[in-house]
Amino acid sequence: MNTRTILPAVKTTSNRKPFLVALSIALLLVTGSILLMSSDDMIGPDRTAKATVSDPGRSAPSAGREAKKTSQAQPSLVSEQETHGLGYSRGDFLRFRFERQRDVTISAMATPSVEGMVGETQSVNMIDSTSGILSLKVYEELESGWALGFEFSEVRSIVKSSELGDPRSNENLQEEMNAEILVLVESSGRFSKVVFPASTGPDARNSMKDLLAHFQIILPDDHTQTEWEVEEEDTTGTYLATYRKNSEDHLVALLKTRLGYTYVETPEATGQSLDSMTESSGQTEIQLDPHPVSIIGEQRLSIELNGLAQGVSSVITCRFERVDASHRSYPASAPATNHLLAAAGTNLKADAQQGGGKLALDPDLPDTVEILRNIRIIIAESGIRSADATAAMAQLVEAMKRDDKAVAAALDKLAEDSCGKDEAALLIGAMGAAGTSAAQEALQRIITSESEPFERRETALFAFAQVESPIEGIDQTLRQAYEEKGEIWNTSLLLLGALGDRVRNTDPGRFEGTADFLLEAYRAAGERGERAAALESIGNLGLEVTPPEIARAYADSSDRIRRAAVRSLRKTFDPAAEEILSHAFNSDPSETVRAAAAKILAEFPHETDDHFLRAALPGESSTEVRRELLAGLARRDPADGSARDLVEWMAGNDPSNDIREYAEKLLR
Amino acid sequence: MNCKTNYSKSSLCLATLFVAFLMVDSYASAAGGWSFRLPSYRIPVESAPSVPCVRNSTGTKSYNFSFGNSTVSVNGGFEAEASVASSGCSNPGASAEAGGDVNIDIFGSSRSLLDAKAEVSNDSDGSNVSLHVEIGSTTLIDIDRNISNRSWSRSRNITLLNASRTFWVAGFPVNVAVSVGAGMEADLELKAAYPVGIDGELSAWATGSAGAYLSIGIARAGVSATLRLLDTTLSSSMSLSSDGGVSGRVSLEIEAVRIKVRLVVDRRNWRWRWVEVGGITIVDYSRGSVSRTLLSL
Repeated sequence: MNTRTILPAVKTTSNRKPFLVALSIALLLVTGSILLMSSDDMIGPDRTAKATVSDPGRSAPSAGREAKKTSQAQPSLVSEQETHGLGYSRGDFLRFRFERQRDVTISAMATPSVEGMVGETQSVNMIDSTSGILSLKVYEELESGWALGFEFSEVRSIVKSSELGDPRSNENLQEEMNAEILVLVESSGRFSKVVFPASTGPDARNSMKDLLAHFQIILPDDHTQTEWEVEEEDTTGTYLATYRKNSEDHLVALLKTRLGYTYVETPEATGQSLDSMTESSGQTEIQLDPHPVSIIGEQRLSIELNGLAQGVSSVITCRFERVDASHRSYPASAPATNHLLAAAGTNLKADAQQGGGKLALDPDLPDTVEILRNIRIIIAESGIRSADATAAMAQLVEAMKRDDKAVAAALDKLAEDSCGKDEAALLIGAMGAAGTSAAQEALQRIITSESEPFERRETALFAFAQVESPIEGIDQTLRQAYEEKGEIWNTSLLLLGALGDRVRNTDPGRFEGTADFLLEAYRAAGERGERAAALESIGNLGLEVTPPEIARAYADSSDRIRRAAVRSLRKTFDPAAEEILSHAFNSDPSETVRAAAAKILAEFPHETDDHFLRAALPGESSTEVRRELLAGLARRDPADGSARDLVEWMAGNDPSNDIREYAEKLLR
Repeated sequence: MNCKTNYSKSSLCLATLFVAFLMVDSYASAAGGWSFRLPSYRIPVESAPSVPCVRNSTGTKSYNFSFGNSTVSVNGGFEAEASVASSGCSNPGASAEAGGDVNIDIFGSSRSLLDAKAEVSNDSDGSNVSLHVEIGSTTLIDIDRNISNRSWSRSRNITLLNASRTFWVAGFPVNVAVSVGAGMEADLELKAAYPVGIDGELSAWATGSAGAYLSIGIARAGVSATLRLLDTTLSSSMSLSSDGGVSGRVSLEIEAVRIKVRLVVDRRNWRWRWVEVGGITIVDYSRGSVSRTLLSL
């Protein structure tokens, strides 16, 4: 059978009627021509892009043919309608020379009390200058936009700072940046997917993303619009931008202005948003013919840090000048497009991940042997309470999180006779902070070892309290230690409740099992101290609903049991708990019980701005109750306005000097 | 709680920190220095020719503190109390307590580091020892026993608190990080038999580092701070006799606080580790050790 290709999507065979086929083709061509002629009134850059395909001045790309230069660096003369869209068509090849300077300053203020630096803002500055060639290749026109290749070459990156001395070449970055990035661009101009070579590290990725962001030119659906506003993202975050369009001499000039951030990119969920601390401005002038001819931009960004650093500010100037525009064929364009479409890719947000092929370990982290050796030296020279000891502990925690061998090495160190108490406390504390399965098993081994001294076993129990995801086996270990009533029974019972709380959401069955065990322990407990400890552990656990046992415990004649009952409700928020706590705060005959209730009630916000606390405070005669109430308020979220009001009232009105002074300190 | 002011965004917290210290200094000066004695008082309530009633009660004496800034700060207080009524009184007995609590705020998130209280009593219900220790809002020791003596010795715990956030400026990561090690150590002897008292030490500390670095591959620039925010030891030596006699004292030692802040530029060495190549120290604050008597019997 003889098969021939007429159009990419239309095939015919010799046994079909040639006249009907020819007629069909003719009808298709006529229909296509009518559609193309009417595209002057159409909107959307993809349609314009199709119009450029029909440009007779361009040669249609075909496999195996040499690239044919159709235009030079000078802008071509095209109509405004054509330049409405970006106008990319398969085979377009654009070459730009680029320069970018990133001038970044980080500053802090010397306090007025420091001699010679009266209120001055001190700063350090670094400048990164990057230049090179950027080639834009249009691999494919797709229904959703274009598959583009951005190939960086001849990249040079120089870092300058007065402290560094001579300018330094950033050779690693240069090397990594000489690469091609595949980009899926939507018909609007928005970059929807960016695919890097696996060998490109995060620094190079972010540097290239910052450059690529200048090519993200988002156009409106309606080409008659001369002003529009869109939300865009780049490595720094998501911001609002306005565009203004002017047409002159068959060129379209766009002026893009940054209005401000709607979201500042931060991968961690800690602390408050940076949006309100950020100011940004900038303008980018873009010339299109309809392809980008030049892009010249300046951006300013400053982030005010409400902490040790005063702030960070940057000025970026960037210039892309087109030096070549031609039309080529890409024999390998299909694999590139397929790779782009199949790969997971990323977007223009900053990339915090290590690139493939990179070492997983932070190169800044010493190896475990070195860390452990340093810990002993630091403790001997500076002491366990020094900042150096904390830094070494943080390094050990990182090492343990990344490699279980670090845990084994710490255990070996603990087994040495020369391992002192401070060193042991730091190594064991690091296991708890690391919290890996290996670290937990190591702690469990210390807890259950009869040969270990009591203080080391107790330290291991304390360290376990840092663990966020406790291993299952620890529950049984703690229950057994409690039931044996050895010297660690008390802390074992209390820790059991705390670890039960950690699995409340991930393993409700385990949580319920711990709750049942602790309630049974309370019911079976003989002496007052054991009953109180069981109640305290229930407080660590935090029951969802107040059980009858707690209500009965609150009716006990012993102040200590009533106090323990009150404390057992510190994480329980049902109406029964609120009722018991309110009763204890208002009416319990024991000042100690009232104080315990005051602290718990003050720790969490209540409806109507803690009205009952406001009402009770002026008439509260017990200093102990007021002090505990203040201690509870001190644990609230610092942004809690109601708590702040109460602290302010106490700072100004409390009859006790000590309490007023403490409240004043809290307000600073 | 470290209540932050909204209006103080522009005045960085280093300044706040120093103001806090200066205020503490001013307070100490106004009070006549750090070693002043808080008076105890002696109230003869009942008297009989053979067995006089002698009562001594100090009331609760406390010292509260708050150091740091809005990135990281610590606050808390220590307290002590003692009272005794001799056998000639209608309700004879003795009780003493000592304790303290420390909270830390990192990036606006509050966390309790330590809340410890030791109590001893000897009255008509017998002798009782009570010890309550919370670390990170988790109660880890809760002892309440009718015994005459209990030692809580050489107990140590170190917790590491890390927080960091990264944002990007011009494609460069800026990392703001705080790493604080918070520790406690106790060596207490709780005596509920006459002479009733609490002897020993309870310590808490918080030290670490904070920084904000902008990293440009081969070099980085930033603010580097080493923090010794808190290093305190409560020392107790109390002796309450059945005849109403009291002796000893409870004192608080505050070791040298040091905060050093440098603006630095580092570059990578051949092992790809950061080496400082330049910078200036903008804050190097330290003060000597001070002591304060909470309770003097």
